[in-house]
Amino acid sequence: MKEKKSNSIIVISLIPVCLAVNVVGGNLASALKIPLYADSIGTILAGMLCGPAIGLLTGALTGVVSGIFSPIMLAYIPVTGIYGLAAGVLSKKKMMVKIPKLVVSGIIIALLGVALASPIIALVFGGITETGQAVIIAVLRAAGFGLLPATLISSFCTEFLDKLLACFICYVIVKGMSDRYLSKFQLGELYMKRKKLQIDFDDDDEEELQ
Amino acid sequence: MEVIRMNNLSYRYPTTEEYCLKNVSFSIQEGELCAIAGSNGCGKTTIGNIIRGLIPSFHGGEIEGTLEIFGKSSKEISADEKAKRIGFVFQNPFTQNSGIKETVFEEIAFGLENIGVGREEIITRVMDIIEMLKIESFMYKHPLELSGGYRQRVALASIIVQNPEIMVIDEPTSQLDPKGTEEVFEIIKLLNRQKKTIVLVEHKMELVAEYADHIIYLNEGTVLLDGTAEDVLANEILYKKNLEMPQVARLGFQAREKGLMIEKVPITMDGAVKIFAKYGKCVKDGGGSHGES
Amino acid sequence: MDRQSVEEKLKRQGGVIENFCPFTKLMLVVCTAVLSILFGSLIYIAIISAVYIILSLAAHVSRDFLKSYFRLFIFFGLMLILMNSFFQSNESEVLFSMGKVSIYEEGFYRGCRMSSIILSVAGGLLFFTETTPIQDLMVMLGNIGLSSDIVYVVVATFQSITELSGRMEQILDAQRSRGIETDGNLIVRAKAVLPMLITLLLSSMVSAEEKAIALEARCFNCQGTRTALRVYKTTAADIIAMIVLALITGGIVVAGFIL
Repeated sequence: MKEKKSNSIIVISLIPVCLAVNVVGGNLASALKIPLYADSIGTILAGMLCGPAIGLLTGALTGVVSGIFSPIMLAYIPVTGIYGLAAGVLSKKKMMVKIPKLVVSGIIIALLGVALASPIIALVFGGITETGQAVIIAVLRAAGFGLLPATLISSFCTEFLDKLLACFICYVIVKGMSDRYLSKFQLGELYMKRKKLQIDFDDDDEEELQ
Repeated sequence: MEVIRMNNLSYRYPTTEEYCLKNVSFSIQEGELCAIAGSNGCGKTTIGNIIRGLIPSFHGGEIEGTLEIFGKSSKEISADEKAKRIGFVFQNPFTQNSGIKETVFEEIAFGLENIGVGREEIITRVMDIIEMLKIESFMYKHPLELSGGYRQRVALASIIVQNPEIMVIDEPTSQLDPKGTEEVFEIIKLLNRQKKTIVLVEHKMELVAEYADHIIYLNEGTVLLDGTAEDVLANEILYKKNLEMPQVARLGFQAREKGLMIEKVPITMDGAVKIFAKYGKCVKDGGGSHGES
Repeated sequence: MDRQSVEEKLKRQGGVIENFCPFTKLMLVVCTAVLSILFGSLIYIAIISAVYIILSLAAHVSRDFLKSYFRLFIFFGLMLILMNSFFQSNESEVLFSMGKVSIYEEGFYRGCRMSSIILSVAGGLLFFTETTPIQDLMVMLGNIGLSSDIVYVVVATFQSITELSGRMEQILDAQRSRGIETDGNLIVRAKAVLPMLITLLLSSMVSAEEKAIALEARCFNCQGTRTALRVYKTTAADIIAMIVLALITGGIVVAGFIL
C-alpha cells in the first residue's frame, strides 16, 4: 500500500511535465515550420514508463489542455488518448526496448492515429484543419477522392514521420535516464542498463544458503 | 531529550551493490543544530533522506539497523506523521514549489491546505511567517518570477509554517550566491534560536563551523567523527587524511607544521584572528615562537 | 500587510461577466450548441459571432478573444463553407458557377450548418477559457467530485508549460543568432535543435522526481480533508443567469418551431 503511494506521487509530478512537453513540442514545430505535429512525445513517454492507463490519461489530458488554448483540439481527445494507451501496451510487451521493434511500434501508433483522426477531421470538421493538411485534402477531393479517403491519405505521411520520430526521441530520453530514476516507474525495469531483478534474486539465494 | 537515534544503520540504493552507509550510529538531541558534514558522495544526503523517511518509502532499497525518532521506531511512524512533523528543504530552489500557486502567499499556504488547517488560521500563520522571515516585499509575486535566493526563502517558509518539530535541511545554499546564502542562514539561525531541532546536511565547512552545535562527520559511508564543532573540525584526522575542513583550521595545522605552536587550531575566522593575534603580539614584543603573551 | 488587504487579494479579480461561475459560462456553450444544431445557417453564424464579440467586449477580454475567434472564423467558418460548397455528395442544385468551378447548394448548406455548430461550441469555449482562471474551473470540478490528483495535474501543467517554454526560448534565441530560422533546409534546422531539445526534455523529466519530493514535503499525500484558501462559490447571480439563458434558448427554439 505504501509502495503504491510513493509511486503515485512521482507519476502525479511526471504527467504535468509530459503534458508540457507535448504543448511546447507542438509550438516548436510550428515555430520552426517543421511539418510534424511533435505533440505526442510526452504522451508516448508516459505510456512507455508508466503503462497503458497512465498513457491513456496523459494523452486524454493533452487533448483537454490543448483544448484550453484552442477548443478545436478537444475533438481530438480520443486520438491523443490512443497514442498513450498504445505506447503503454507496446511498452509492456517489450516492443519499445530495442530499435527494430521500436520502429514497428512507431508504425502501429501511427496507423492508430490515422485510423482515429481521419474520421474526426472528415466528419466533425468537414475536412478542414489548421495545418497544411486541409490543402492536401482539398486537392485530393478535386482529383475525385471522397472526403474520408482524401483525409486518410493525407494523414498518412505526416503521422508516420511524426510518430516514428517521437518514438525515437522517447527512446533516447529513456536511455538517458539513470537506473535509479527508472526504478521508480512501473515499466522502468525494461529500460535499465543493469537488471534490478538480478540483484534481488541473488539476495534470496544467500538467505536460503544460510 | 534525545529526538533522533540511529543504530548500526547500513543502506544500499536499490540499483547498486555497494553499501552507501555502513554501520552508522549517532544521537541527536532536541533543539540542537546538528550538521551532517563530509565531502561529496560520503552519504550525508542519504542520511537526511533516511531521517525524513524518504528512504525507504520513496527511494526504495533496504535498511539494516534501526532509526528511532521521537522515541519510536521510524517504521511505526506513518508517512503522514513524518510529513507533518519532519520538515524537508533541499538544494534546488527551482523544483521546490507546489507548481499550482500564483502568489508567494498562496504558495506558503499550500502545505497547510493539504493538512486541512482552517482558512482563518492559515491566513494568520502565513502572515506570521512572512513577517518572521521578512518576505513582505515579494509576498504577492508569482513564484516563477523569483530568483534562486528568494525561492529558497519561500521554500523554507512553506515548510516552517507547517510547524514541524524537526527540520531536515539538505545543502540549501549550494545553488545560491553569497547574499542568498547569508539570507538563508539568517533563517536557520532564527530557527535555532527558537530551539527547533535542525539536521543540516552541508559540505561548506565554514558555515558548519559557525552554526553547528553538534557535528557528525562522515567519510565513505561511515561516521569518522562525532562531537562539538571544535572537537570535530579541529581534529587532526581531517588534516592528515586531507578531508574537507574549514580553511582556517587547515591553516592552523599548517602553521604548527611550520613550527608556529598556536595554542589551539581555530575553526572560524573570528577564532583565527584571536589566536593569531596573540602570536602576533608575542612577535612584536620580541618573544619566542610559542605565541604566549 | 494587514488582514483586510490580504482578504481582498484573495477574492476573484475581474468584472461582472468574468465573475460568473464556470458552470454559468458552460451553460452558454450548451445553449448556443443546441441553437446551432437546430438553426445552423449563414445568418446564424453572423448573429452568434456578433453575440460573442459583444460579450467579449463586456468581459474585457476582447483583444485576446477576437484574435483567436478570428482565426476560428477563417478556418472553420469561411474555409469550411467554401470547401464543402465546391464538392457534393448527392445530386443538388448549383447555386453559382464560374467556368469549371461550381458551388453546390447541398454542400453550401451542409457547410453552413457544420460551421455554425463548430463556431458556437468552439467560440463559446474560447470565451469560457478567456474569462475563467484555470484554478477556478478545476476547484469547481474538484468540488463536484473530480479526483484531486487530476485537478492538481491539469493546473500544474500550466506552470510546467511556462517553465519549459522559457528554457526552450533560451535555446532558440541562441540558435536564432546563428540563423536557424533562415539558414539551411529542414534537415539542418532539425539537426541543430534536436540534441539540445533532447537534453532539455531529459532534464525536465528528471526534475519531476524533485518536484514529487517537494509535494511530499508539503503534505500533498496526507490523508484527510483538504481546506482551501481561495473559496469559489456559486452565487445567486449565477443561478439567475443560468435560468435566464435557459429561458431565452427555450424561447428561441419554440419560436423557431412555430414560425
